[in-house]
Amino acid sequence: MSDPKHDAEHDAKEKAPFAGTGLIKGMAVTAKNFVGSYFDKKRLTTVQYPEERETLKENFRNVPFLIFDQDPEAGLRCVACKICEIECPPQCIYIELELDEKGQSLKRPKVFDVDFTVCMNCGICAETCPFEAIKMDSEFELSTTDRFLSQLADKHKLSKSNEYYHQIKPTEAAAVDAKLAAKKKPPPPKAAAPAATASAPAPAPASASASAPEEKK
Amino acid sequence: MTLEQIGFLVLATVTLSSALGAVLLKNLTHALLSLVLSFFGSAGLFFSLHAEFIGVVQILVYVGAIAVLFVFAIVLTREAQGDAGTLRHLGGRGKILGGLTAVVVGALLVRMILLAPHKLLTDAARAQEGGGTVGEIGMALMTSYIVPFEVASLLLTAALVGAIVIALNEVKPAASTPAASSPPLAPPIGRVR
Amino acid sequence: MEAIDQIFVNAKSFIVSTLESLGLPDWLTLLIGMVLPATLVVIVFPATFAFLTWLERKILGRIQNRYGPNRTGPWGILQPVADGLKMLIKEDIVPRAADKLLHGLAPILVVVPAVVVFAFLPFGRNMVPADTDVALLFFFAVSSISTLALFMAGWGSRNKYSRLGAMRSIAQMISYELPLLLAAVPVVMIVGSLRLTEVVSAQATEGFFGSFTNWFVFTPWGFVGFLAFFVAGMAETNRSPFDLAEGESEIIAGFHTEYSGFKFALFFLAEYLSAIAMSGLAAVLFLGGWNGPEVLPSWLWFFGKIMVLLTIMIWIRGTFPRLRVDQLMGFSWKFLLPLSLVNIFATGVWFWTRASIPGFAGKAAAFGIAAVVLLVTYVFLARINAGPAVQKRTYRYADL
Repeated sequence: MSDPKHDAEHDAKEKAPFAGTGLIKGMAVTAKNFVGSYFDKKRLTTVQYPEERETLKENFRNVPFLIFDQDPEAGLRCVACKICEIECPPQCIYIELELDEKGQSLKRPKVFDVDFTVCMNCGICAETCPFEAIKMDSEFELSTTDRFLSQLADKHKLSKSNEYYHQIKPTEAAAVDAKLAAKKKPPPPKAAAPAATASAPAPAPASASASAPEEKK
Repeated sequence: MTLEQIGFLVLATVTLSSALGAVLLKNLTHALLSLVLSFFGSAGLFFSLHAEFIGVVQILVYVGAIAVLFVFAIVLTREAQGDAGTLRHLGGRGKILGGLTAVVVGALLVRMILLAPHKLLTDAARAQEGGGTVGEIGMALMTSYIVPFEVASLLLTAALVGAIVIALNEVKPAASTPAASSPPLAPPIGRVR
Repeated sequence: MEAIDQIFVNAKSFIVSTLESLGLPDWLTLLIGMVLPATLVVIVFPATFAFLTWLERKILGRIQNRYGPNRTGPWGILQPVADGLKMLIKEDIVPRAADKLLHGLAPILVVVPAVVVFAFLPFGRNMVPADTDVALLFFFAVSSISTLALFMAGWGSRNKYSRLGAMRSIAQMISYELPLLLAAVPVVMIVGSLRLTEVVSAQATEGFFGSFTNWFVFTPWGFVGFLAFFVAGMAETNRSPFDLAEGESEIIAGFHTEYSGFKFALFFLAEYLSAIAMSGLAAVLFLGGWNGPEVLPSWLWFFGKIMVLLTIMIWIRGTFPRLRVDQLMGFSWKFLLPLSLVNIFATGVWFWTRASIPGFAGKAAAFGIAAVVLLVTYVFLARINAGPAVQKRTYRYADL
């Protein structure tokens, strides 16, 4: 549907300026840029790396790391369920479960290797971990002179404390802590005492089953 | 052996040997460059005769324009290697013809040189006359030689117009064929805003 | 002030007289007397070239919202040293199929005219290395040699991009030589001589204001001539926006694709030195050469003018996109050439009006008539060269 008014505008030609004024205007723009770069911060946005650094956004992610609460060995949240190893698209995680003498799982990894040269920083391992054990780090200055082994991070190098997690990603860490605290919270007390004792085992599995779908979410 | 004589010897050697090279070299681009060197040699000879204007014009016209013309001729007609196509197919006749031409031209040049009035100005005489050669040439062009000057300028204008006409004609036939409806010519300087 | 002004001249005569008194033969003192200014030129102008590369990178950086080099020394001032070192130690790769004679000779033949041309410029009062009658013509003749050298570079590399670049650059250089020479002709007409020292002295008169009111750039024909000369000079030396021959983003590097290391540095040197020489000649012809108020010595004025013109060249480089080859040719043949020819005519009119009507009225009338003639020609040429008028852009949205 053609509007006659629009058509008239469409056919209008721009009035030709005096020859050469376009050139002068262009040079004025560059001159303004040149002079302005000395006074206006917007006109000179260079950050002199490595003396100055830009503050990173909070949800910047690079390579994964493992979280421990208080103790690096006993407080390590990872139970070696191998979900992140299976989900990782380029298969850069290698996990070995620690077994005791009888062959029972000790629910912690013996070996947890991440190959940084393969990792594609997608964060799927952190998304799928049911135990909030592996999260994405924002450390990016990881260059080394050796191309292979020094880029393979083992469990010791990957383990970092929960305080460190709070430091780099405060809101995310606070949300994770709240989630974990909600899981560990004791069940709310009921009014009747026998109902309390009778229903004490009942709400416990109820709350457990309630939190299970929440984890699987 | 004064400095001037040494200078003349050097310049003459350079000019002659490069002119020979221009004729005898197989690689066409090398031949062209040796011709350019002979132009420089002639310019040097002009300078040694205190005719700076002619020398400078020699460089400006011969090296700056005519050699470039040769360059275009080579570039637009020769493919990669640029070897000089010889007239070898003429065989023995070629040598006789070439030799005859050389003798005739040489005889003409020698006759002209011998018959020319030797009015080579010495430094003292030149200092007496005062004034550079530029003013004298300009004066001569505008007074005694005005007709050749105007005729030359008409000739150059005709050449310019002819070149434009030839260049234009190359585009027209393509546009006149009904099958190939070429798009209109692009504007000369697009005023891009 | 007089002493500082003539410091180089006095130094040279002092050295020459000492050598004469030491009993050296005549020809040797003559030779040394000729070699001294040449040495000074060869030291000063490549140093200016180094400074110019630094200045260009800093100014272009600031125009493009970034710092230029600032790591090598304070404000990156040692960057030219780093660049020079890099060029020297790079491997010199010669393609196997290249014509060794042409390939090796071309960089030399490009640099030699660029350096020789400085012999004819008057740097200050009494400071010309070679004061000849035909200095201006010499300048143009020698700078036209570089056309051939570029062809040699392109052809000798046996590379289709180099050949393309060389052909384009030859076409560009010969088409811009005409407006360049024709833009300088009005100056020669008014001064009456090709001697550059006379051109400079003709632009000065007495009095405090005498040292800059008489510059040719303040006359209508001088202004147009200066603009035409400056633009044609930029095109001659293959500087942006006329650098199609070496178009860095198009035909790889044009005629100097196959050059690396020191040979490339020589091409680079030749281009910048030609730019400096063109600015120098523009300053001599139109901006009064070494004339200026007495507060600064004459050679400092000349140098300052060259620096201003070079800064304008860098500014233009940072502003405009590269011209296409047909735009380039059209600009030269259809705009600059007719403009320069009419400029010569306007100069004649100006001179004749001035001569016939005495006094200030004559000067004003001359200025007015010449200005009108030139303005009309400029507008006319601009109109016939302009492309079709640009449609006003409106956007049709779907009417829902």
